[in-house]
Amino acid sequence: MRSKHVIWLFIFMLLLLFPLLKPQGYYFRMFSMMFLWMGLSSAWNITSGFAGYIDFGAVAYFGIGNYATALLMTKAGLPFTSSVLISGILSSFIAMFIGRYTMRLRGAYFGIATLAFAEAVKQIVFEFDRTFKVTLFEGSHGITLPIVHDDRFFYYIFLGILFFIVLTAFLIDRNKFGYALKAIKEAEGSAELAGVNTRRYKVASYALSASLIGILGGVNAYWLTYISPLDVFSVIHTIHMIVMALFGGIGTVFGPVLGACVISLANELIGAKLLYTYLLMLGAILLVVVLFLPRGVIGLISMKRSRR
Amino acid sequence: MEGEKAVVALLLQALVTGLLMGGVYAAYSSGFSLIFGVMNIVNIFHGELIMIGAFTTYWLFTLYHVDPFLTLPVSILSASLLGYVIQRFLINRVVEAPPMMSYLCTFGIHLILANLALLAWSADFRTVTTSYSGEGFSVGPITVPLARLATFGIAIVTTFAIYWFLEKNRHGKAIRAASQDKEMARLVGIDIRKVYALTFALGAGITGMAGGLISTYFVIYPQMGLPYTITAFCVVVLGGMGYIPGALVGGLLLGIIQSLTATYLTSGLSVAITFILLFIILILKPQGIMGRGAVE
Amino acid sequence: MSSLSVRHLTKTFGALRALNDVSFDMVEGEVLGIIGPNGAGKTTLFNVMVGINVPDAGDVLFKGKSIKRLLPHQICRLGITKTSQIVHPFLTLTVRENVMVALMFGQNLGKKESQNKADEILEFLNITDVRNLPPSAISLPKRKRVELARAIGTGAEIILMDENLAGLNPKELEEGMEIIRALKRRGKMLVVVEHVMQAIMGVCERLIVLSHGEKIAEGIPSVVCNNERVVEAYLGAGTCSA
Repeated sequence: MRSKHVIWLFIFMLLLLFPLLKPQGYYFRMFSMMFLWMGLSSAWNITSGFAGYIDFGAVAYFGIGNYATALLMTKAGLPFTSSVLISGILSSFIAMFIGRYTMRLRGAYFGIATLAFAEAVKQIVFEFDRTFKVTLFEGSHGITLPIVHDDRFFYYIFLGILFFIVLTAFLIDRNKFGYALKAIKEAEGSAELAGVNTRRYKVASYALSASLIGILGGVNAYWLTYISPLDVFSVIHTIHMIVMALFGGIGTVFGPVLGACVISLANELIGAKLLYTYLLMLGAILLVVVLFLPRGVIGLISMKRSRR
Repeated sequence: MEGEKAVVALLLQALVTGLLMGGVYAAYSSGFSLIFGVMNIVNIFHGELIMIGAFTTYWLFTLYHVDPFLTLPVSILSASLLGYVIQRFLINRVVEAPPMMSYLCTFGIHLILANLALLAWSADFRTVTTSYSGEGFSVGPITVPLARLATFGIAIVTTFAIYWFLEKNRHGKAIRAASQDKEMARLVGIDIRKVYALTFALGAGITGMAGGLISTYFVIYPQMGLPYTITAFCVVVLGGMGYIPGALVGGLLLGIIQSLTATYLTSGLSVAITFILLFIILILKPQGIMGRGAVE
Repeated sequence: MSSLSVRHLTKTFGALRALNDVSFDMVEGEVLGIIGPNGAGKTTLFNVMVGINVPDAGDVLFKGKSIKRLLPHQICRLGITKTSQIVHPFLTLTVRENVMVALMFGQNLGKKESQNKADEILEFLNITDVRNLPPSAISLPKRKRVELARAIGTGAEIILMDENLAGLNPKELEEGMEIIRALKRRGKMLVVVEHVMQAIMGVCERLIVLSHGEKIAEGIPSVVCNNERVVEAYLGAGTCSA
């Protein structure tokens, strides 16, 4: 139990020191990308893994975070940090409103409702200006943000947020909030009968996931310096969060981190060149995990350990 | 006077277009409702079944010049065979597992089918253009496209055929009974897994047929599936989950509302309108507008 | 004064009238039995009382206040919960954690305190041996015991037990009845739905008979089950001695 946490902490320390080696910009960017995905799938895992409400529309909050930060920085002239924080808060408010009603649906119904939500937000951002003859989201033109050439800056920001998200998940996993979510996941009716205010806890988890994803979205916008609706609201991002968390071990603290590490590397290696093959592979991974490895790679490791 | 006439004509045309579009929605949503009603599975690769049906028609038409309407039996067959095999060998393995697993499984299949199709057929947009494509007849100022009218008719017929099958037919009743009481089904020797696979084949078949019909007036491409799945889901929620005639009502309602917004506001917000409608239903009446579907 | 009062409850599902004008009262410290054939409306009655279903008509008063519009977790914290006929434990948590959830949220205790209290409850119910196992790994009788442990953990004054003693062997049944008596001594009020007449006769002070959603008899067990309508509707002659 304890040794596992020491290993994770050790890896974190190494990552903190890594820039001292003065690596090339490419490595900074690759690691930043990996931290982003680890953070996203860990944040997704709070609602989908702990509470068992699989969110097929998580990309909505990623996109909202991107756009909120981009608009706040370019149109309102706010500094980066406060823009990102406001993006997180905005995401959680939207999630509270959407979750309050969509979370009346169980299981796959919630899944597809959230999928529809994400597609709807994408469409609204894409079509808004043209429909209402205004200049706000810039539609298909996208938005360009002020450019910062500082790979190290983003490396540390992403690493810091990742640490914060994993710590949040770690604490939730072992406190009352986590027990409420796990009870909801296993048997929502029994949880109600045991005194758990299920609606409040599940909506709270959804809002928490959304705010963390929104914050990462905000940083992403500043990092990429150019965003467009079809990119930041792409359903592929949601697919990634799902497959990464599931592959590593859904509902565990470190599973999504591990899964995101492996799959974002795979994405880097073949995703850009062979997109369809890569997505096909993600589907195959999903099937294999669901059919044979429901507890993911982390489950496999802990099973081997307990056998010894 | 003239202006007033034009306003009325525009409204009537919007309603007719919406009604016919609703028929299309109903045609490809009833299979979704059937599979949900019997197996309690929300099938995320539903849109890929439509895509398979559409491409079957496309290839038969393009390569062998078979009339699209004559290809429909093959579209039915290919989609139902695919549905049967997937249900029998993949979904049946997770039917007893937590529900999360079954729809993650269908999600994985969605990814595999869509991307296999992309690899095989490329992402190109394709159309089936026949000699009678775009034909229609006029009633006063209103145009009625023939192919959609045919789809509309077929949608109504299949919806009621399935409804009749499940409610009145002996085999259909057995399917329903078995799905409602698995223990009892086992005791009287019904192989529930076979029942499921057959139901899935049936639901996939009518979905494939809808795909074949759609190919005659919409562009088709390998990634077309997901929006169709979303729409089918919303249609079924609007009409009441698992209640077959609900798909018809939900489809028509959605079709008319989308057509009205496309006429008077914009056509670019169809998914957003669909979602907003779904969301309002969730707030006001979680059982769907018919008030008869199952809500879990 | 009655602390729980069920008044003219009616509940229909489509064409099925599951409850029809059912009324009764409960006084402090009472153990009330409810019997009736399958489909008589017993589970629906419980579901209305704990807030899973909202009645079409009638009301449930607890300490003088209407609770029919409250959600199960609110009713649970006020003091009424139930054990379900078909148990749905939290499968990935241990038995002890299952009970801890009830203590943490039903009584709003901290994690540490819940742990200790959970151990006490498990000891009281004599299932300490399985406390670190997941509910999937234990026998059905023990799982039913875990269900009861969860209900006790919420701290509710009134526990509605829906066939919690079904399917037990004679020894387990005797133990279960002893637990009910002990709960009564601790000041709990219990409503026991059961087909096992031996248990009903052994622990209940008063008996209500439901049939087709209606209350057809009420009174002292030995009298009620010799009632002609009851025998006809449900029991068959000579069951009372069991």
